[in-house]
Amino acid sequence: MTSSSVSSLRLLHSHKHVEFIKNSSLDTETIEYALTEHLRLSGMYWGLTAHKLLVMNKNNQEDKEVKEEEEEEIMSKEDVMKFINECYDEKSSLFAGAPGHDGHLLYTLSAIQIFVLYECVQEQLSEERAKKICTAISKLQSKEDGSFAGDEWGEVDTRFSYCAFSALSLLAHGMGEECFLDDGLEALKIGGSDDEKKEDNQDKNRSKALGIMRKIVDVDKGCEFIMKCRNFDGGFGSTPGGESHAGQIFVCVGALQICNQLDLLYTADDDEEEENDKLAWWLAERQVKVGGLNGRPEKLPDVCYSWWVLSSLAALKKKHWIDLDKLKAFILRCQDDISGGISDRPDDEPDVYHTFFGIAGLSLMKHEGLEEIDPIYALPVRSVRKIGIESDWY
Amino acid sequence: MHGRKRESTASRLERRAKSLPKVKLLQKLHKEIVHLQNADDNEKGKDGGGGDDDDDDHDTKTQKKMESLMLTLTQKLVEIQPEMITCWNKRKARFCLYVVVRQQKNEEEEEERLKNVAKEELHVSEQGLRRNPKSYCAWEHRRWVIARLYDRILSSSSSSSSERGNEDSSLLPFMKDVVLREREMLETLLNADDRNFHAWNYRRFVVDKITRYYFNGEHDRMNEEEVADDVIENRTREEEAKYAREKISKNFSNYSAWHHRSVHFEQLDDDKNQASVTTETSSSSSPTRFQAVLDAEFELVSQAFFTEPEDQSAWMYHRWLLSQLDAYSSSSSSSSKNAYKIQTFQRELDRITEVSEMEPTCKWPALVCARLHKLLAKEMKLDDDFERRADVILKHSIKAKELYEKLLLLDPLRKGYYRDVLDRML
Ligand SMILES: [Zn+2]
Repeated sequence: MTSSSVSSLRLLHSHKHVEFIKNSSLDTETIEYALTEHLRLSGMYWGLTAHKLLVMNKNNQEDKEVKEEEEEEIMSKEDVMKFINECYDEKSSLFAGAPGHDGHLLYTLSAIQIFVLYECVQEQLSEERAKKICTAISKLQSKEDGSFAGDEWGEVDTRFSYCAFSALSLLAHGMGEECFLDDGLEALKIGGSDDEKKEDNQDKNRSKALGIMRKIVDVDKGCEFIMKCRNFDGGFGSTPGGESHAGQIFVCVGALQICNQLDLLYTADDDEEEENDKLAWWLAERQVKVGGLNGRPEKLPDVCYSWWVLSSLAALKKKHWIDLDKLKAFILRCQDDISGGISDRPDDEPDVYHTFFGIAGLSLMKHEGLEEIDPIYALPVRSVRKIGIESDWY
Repeated sequence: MHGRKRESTASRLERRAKSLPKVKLLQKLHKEIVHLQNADDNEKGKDGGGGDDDDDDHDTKTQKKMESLMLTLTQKLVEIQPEMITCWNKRKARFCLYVVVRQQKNEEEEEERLKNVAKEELHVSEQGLRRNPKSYCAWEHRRWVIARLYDRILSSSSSSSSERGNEDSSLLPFMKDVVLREREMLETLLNADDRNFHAWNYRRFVVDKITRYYFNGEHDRMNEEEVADDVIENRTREEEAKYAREKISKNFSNYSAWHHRSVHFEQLDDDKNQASVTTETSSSSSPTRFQAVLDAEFELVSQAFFTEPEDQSAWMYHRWLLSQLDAYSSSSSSSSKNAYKIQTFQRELDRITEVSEMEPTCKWPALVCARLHKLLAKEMKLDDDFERRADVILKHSIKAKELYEKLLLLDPLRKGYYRDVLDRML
């Protein structure tokens, strides 16, 4: 369809992408929509966050054109919140992917992320419900090895460790300390007393939130389990022995970062630079000739890895180890110039998932006009700042 | 959507129209399953604790009808979309009813039913995998069913009275068949896609289950012979390393197999081995066993990169072997270990220099040589006659720097990395 050989940067079709996201969420009679029913809430998070990244900046610069923002809205806030609350599953005290489905950590994180995105965590979550969610999450942690199951049925995956830590951290920041002061939590474990040692004095909020998290789950054991999933190449898999995968690395690095335990990745000896560099170097090796990133060695590049790999590199402060201009060009080449949206590779069908991860990747590279995204929480920096998350990792 | 070619608006509309019946079917299925869920919840709400054994005939009938409706609907849906987790959950809840040990009832009949239900679940999961061999939920369902069966076997063998034991439990031969079948299925799937990490993960699970089964003292049942635990563990590790090797020789670019081999790599500590030699007077290990293992591994990996120098799988593995070697003597340094280390670094340097002469535009041999020069310089600095070797150390450092500078040109995508390395070398 297009000549991909042109190496000059294309423009980002912001407006068309907004249209694409809107159409994809409004046209409910497509096979794509029907096949993704079980993860509707996550789909919503992708679409709404992508939308925010595209318009937030613009709207803040041109205050007069608030009207335009309304026009560009994907869904009204009211509809969004109504839908999320319909997804809440009383039985598990978790959010489900769609109304009437079973609750799961994956969608619980999506729900909380959307609350943060709309700056309405306290408005949408009663203290009672927030505590119930915290208790539910604590029950999903294995006392034996610190791993997290996605739901009561016990599937273990480092993805769920990330979901648990990220959700708890966002709740701890977003609900405010008062919510967690009394003994309303059926805490399974009261945090260790060595907090001071690990505390980041520069970031009071973070250590406060971490203190709250320690009341709910065993943070150290949770991190220990993540480290058990580390591999010969420095990467991480879904369970101990599982092959390294960029998506899995994102969740493991993110979880460690949220728990302020990124140090676990490094040997104490500064002289061991090869050892200390191995994870970031493996990630840098994900970039292939055409500029895109793959998720594992000898695989094809794919726009969604622009996010998984680049955010991990950002957390490790090694974004400059790959060619960012080439990556930008690759993502922009994956745009559908006519009807909007971004696909996995140039000239493939676009979808909301890749549209979000493409825009998120561009945002991490500070693409002009885009709101900056936080590489750990996968939310606009402006949104996480509103609940007191100030990070130094971009 | 991964890997689907972009369409024109016209063909999108056409496809949309064509898929409408399927969309309607999916919508209907979703609705019915959610409805089922609600009905289920209401039912449970009514009779709090669940009735006695002599429940109404009517109730049992409706229950049976509900169950079979649930099974049909969920199967239909997961055969189209195996990631539909709530369907699997419902099936798991039903499976649980059959897997609990109820000793007062007829054990034989109970086991027959359990076996049938297990077969049913494995079949539906297989259908899901046929649709999408990378479905997290379908794989997890499999793992979950097998794990529950093992739990059941282990719990009934430990809890039943010694006179009966589980001598005549038909679950043991059944499990053996199941596991053998799982291996066959895995083989088919791995032959179709040797990088499917779900399949590899599942293989490790199946193998681990078998190993743990042995540990629980049930080995006679699987193999009709008594073997010590550590022997079994070693054997499993060897088998898996061998399996990985077979996969590697079929395709050097199979990173998943290299990974699998690293997982089952024999982590031998020469010092510990020596200690065990003196205490147990076993003759199987000698102080250089680790060295022999490592040498063989370097040999294997060199075959791979000589054949496919542009493929990163083998180079990644090689890098790890070097780090294993580097860590080898760090715990307790001995002159023989150090000598072996330097000698191996040097041998690899010669070997890979050869590759780089054959493939002057390939970045990998240049990168590995650069690292080896750096390692050699570092190693020699720690050596006693550091003074005498100062010029050799300098030579290695200069060579390393030259190569990293060359890499800036050979591999411009990762310039930033090479610059950082060079900066630190100043
Ligand atoms: Zn993708």
